[in-house]
Amino acid sequence: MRERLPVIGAYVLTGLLLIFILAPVAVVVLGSVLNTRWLGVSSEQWVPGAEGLVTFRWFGYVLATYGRMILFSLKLAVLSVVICIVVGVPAAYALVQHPFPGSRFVEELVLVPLSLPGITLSIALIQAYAVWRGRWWLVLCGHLLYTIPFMVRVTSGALRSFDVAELERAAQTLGARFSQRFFLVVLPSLRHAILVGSLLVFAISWGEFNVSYLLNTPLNQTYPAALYATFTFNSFQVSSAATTLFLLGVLPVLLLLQRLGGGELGGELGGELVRIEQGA
Amino acid sequence: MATLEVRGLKKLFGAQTAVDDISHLFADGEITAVVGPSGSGKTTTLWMIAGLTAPDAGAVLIDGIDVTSRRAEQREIGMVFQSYALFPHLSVRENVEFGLRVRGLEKGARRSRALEALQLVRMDAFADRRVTSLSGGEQQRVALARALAFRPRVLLMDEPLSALDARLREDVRLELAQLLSTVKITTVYVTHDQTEAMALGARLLVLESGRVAQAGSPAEVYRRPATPFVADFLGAANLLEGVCGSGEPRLLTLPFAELELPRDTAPGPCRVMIRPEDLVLTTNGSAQFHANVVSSLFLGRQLRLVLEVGEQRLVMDASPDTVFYPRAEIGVRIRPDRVVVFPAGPQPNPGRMNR
Repeated sequence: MRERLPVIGAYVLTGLLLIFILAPVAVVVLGSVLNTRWLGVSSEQWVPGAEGLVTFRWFGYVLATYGRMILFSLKLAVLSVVICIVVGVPAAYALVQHPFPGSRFVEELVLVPLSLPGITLSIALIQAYAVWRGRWWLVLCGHLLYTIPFMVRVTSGALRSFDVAELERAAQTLGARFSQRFFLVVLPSLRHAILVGSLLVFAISWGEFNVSYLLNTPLNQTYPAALYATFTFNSFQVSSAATTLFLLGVLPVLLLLQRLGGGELGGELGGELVRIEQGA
Repeated sequence: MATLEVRGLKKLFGAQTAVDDISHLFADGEITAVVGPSGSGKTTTLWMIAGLTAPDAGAVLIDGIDVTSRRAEQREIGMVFQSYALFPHLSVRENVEFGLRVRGLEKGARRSRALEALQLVRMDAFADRRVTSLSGGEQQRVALARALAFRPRVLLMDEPLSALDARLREDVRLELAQLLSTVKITTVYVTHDQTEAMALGARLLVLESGRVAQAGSPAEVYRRPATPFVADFLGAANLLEGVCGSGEPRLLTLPFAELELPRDTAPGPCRVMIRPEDLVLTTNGSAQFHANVVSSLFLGRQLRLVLEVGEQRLVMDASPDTVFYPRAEIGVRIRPDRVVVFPAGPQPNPGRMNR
């Protein structure tokens, strides 16, 4: 019994911590569907009218008001994934499989944006490309600065974890040309890493705030930037609904990542996430 | 089937010469085992034949046609890798079909040829399995089927058994020997294992620091090694210092015995190789010298004895049914027809008798 006390203590502590972390999420989700009038969950002004206790009208309002921003964020996230695959995967392949003097340095250089605070990066982008300020694709460029390093890192890690070079040599002796080796051997071998990388890129792009907010114009507002606006200018219910929608957008991706990244990629990605948390 | 020839192959890695002027004609439909210690240049030679690395000098010819400038994918050479290098994302069948797929064969032909190749290695029942679910021996067979399915002109094998555990290796070796004899394809088989080389190779090509030390049939190379290095590398050997007489018949004087040689040898100081199985235990008066048993190792088929004659240590094989007491003195006879005499060269004594 005496030995079990610390264990029980640890469980209790973990439980409290979980409540501490999850409670705000629960409040927000609850707030987004409760049919309250003004002040939130604690409000005494319940309006259990014809619609009952639960309502989805806040969501309707959010979709009507911020639909354009949600679509813009989705567009950015999908484009980021596509461009990361098209640019990041071949880049990682070239850096790992065909190294040149300084290729290791280039690989590290690609990761630099991760360790820069988003605000620095945004101001740098604004100042360097002042002419293009307000163009939607400048926001995309900001997202790519953050996401391409992830794709390169995940892919190059996978390339190093097994002998792709030997598989390529085998394919070569079997008569495969370079393009056949790349598309029939290299890419399929990396499919897991590319999937993990894509999910990560999607999640990062969908939730990116710093660059999005600073490069924000009324016409090119991302959803996280809009989310910030709802908290400043809108009711608790509306901002709760907006937050819930935001979570719904990224939750499936995170769950899938959790399942896929449980293996050997987990540790590496964990490290990267710490890096970006510190940077952003 | 095709003949394969390498002419003056040379490869440098930085300042280091990995392969130094190797020339050899690999006979049509024959298995040649390229054998040598690690760093002797055997894998580099194989890679140059395959086209995976470019030689610094020399040429590779298939059926007399120079293919040195062709890329690996244009050489029609099948290769089995040490790691097997099966594609983990493809099934057994898809792996075997790969060479046919990149050649643009239509699906029906691809399937039947892949099945044929899998039947050859008796893996047809595994066609739809994932390669990652196979054992080492099974993977090795699939790798062989994949290398043969597109009907290459030459087959290269790079230490195909070294990834298997010792017990399995002997079975797979027998199976492989049988299989290769039915396929009858010009095969270059690289190994560092002399037993494997002698068991599988119709001919041996022994490499020493990037050069050909000797080429010949296994029996030839084992019985009549060209250099003390070859003698020592191909099996247990006693390497001794001796002096050859000039009289008739030729007398060979060893530190502990004297014997008549049936062959003509140049008179003067020489080095002598005697295999452990060519020292014979005798109990009648025919002993050429007497020695003390220092230790005996039971190896199953034979008993390996370490003997001491004065300062000299010798290894000798005896019947496994014999029992020797420590320090026992025994009479030994040397089979003179099996003794190999090398001219005393600048080569230093390797200093090891047993392996």
